[in-house]
Amino acid sequence: MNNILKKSTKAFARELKNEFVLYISILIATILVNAIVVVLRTDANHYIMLIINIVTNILSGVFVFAKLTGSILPKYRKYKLFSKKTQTLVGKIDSVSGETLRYMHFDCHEVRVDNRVLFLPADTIELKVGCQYKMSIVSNIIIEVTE
Amino acid sequence: MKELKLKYYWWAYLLIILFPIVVWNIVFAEMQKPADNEKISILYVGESLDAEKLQKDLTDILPELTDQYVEVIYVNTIILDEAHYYDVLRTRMYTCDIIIIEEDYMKDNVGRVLFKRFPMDKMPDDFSSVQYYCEETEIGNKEFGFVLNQDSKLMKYIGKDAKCYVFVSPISANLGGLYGEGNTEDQAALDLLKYLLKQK
Repeated sequence: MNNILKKSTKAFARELKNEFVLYISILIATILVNAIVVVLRTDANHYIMLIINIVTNILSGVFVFAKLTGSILPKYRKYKLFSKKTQTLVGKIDSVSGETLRYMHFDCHEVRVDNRVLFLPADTIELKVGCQYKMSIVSNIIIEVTE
Repeated sequence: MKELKLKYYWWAYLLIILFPIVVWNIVFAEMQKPADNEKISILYVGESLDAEKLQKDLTDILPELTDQYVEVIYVNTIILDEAHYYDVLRTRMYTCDIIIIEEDYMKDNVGRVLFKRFPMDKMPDDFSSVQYYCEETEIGNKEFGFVLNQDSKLMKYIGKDAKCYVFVSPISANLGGLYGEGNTEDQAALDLLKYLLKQK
């Protein structure tokens, strides 16, 4: 499948949902740990329990937030592109920039196709300069190509 | 990509680190505080009390005075101004068991406004010399507190020969259920009151 998801939209949605459930489970587990620590707290272990709760919350918070912003959110944004109205363009690739730039929350390579500037999300599809492709485009972002 | 994430969301990571530290410190500090029936608090309205000495002496002697487990005794003094007199006392009644008011800071209707009638039968027989503080109500002259005897044990902590009035908070959980609050076994404040009113 030559799209920016690198797999079918159904398989991608399933993977996204599983990942989301995993991180929600981590948050629930953290809350459970917090509750157990609060119940087990005594005057003797007060500061140890306080540190356990703080460290657990920071670790799970940082981990879940990093995964949310670094993995789930970009994936979800890519997935959402497929539900929007697409435009089809057939053309020859003039150039693909080596550097990436930020376009609509995505890190993209700038792609020139017949004097038109399009954007290709990084680490997704490999386009060969000089080749002709049929491209599906949403808001100037290439989401699917066929040789 | 990772650099970008930190650049855009550094404030969120900072918040994720600071939020649990602040919240858990507040929660654990609250949990560390003794329960209402594990602490006794005395409030003195005036400026003549040696609160530090009284608190130290009461901490030493309290296990002999009462069967109730008391973790800590607080003795605080405040000076009230005219404008916030009743508001401050009303708020302090939630945290204090015994309230002692110096004559200079006393008001005629303080018993009726803030406190409840004290049941005389709760005082032991050998307290016949205790002078009650009474106020005129719709159903006659009623006892709301005590007038501190000049020979009482408490007087040695008060700098001058000031006349003082002693009240108990009707919300206190340490009065043996006198006003329906707390357990009947928890009567450390009542035992302490008897001790403070007792003659030297």
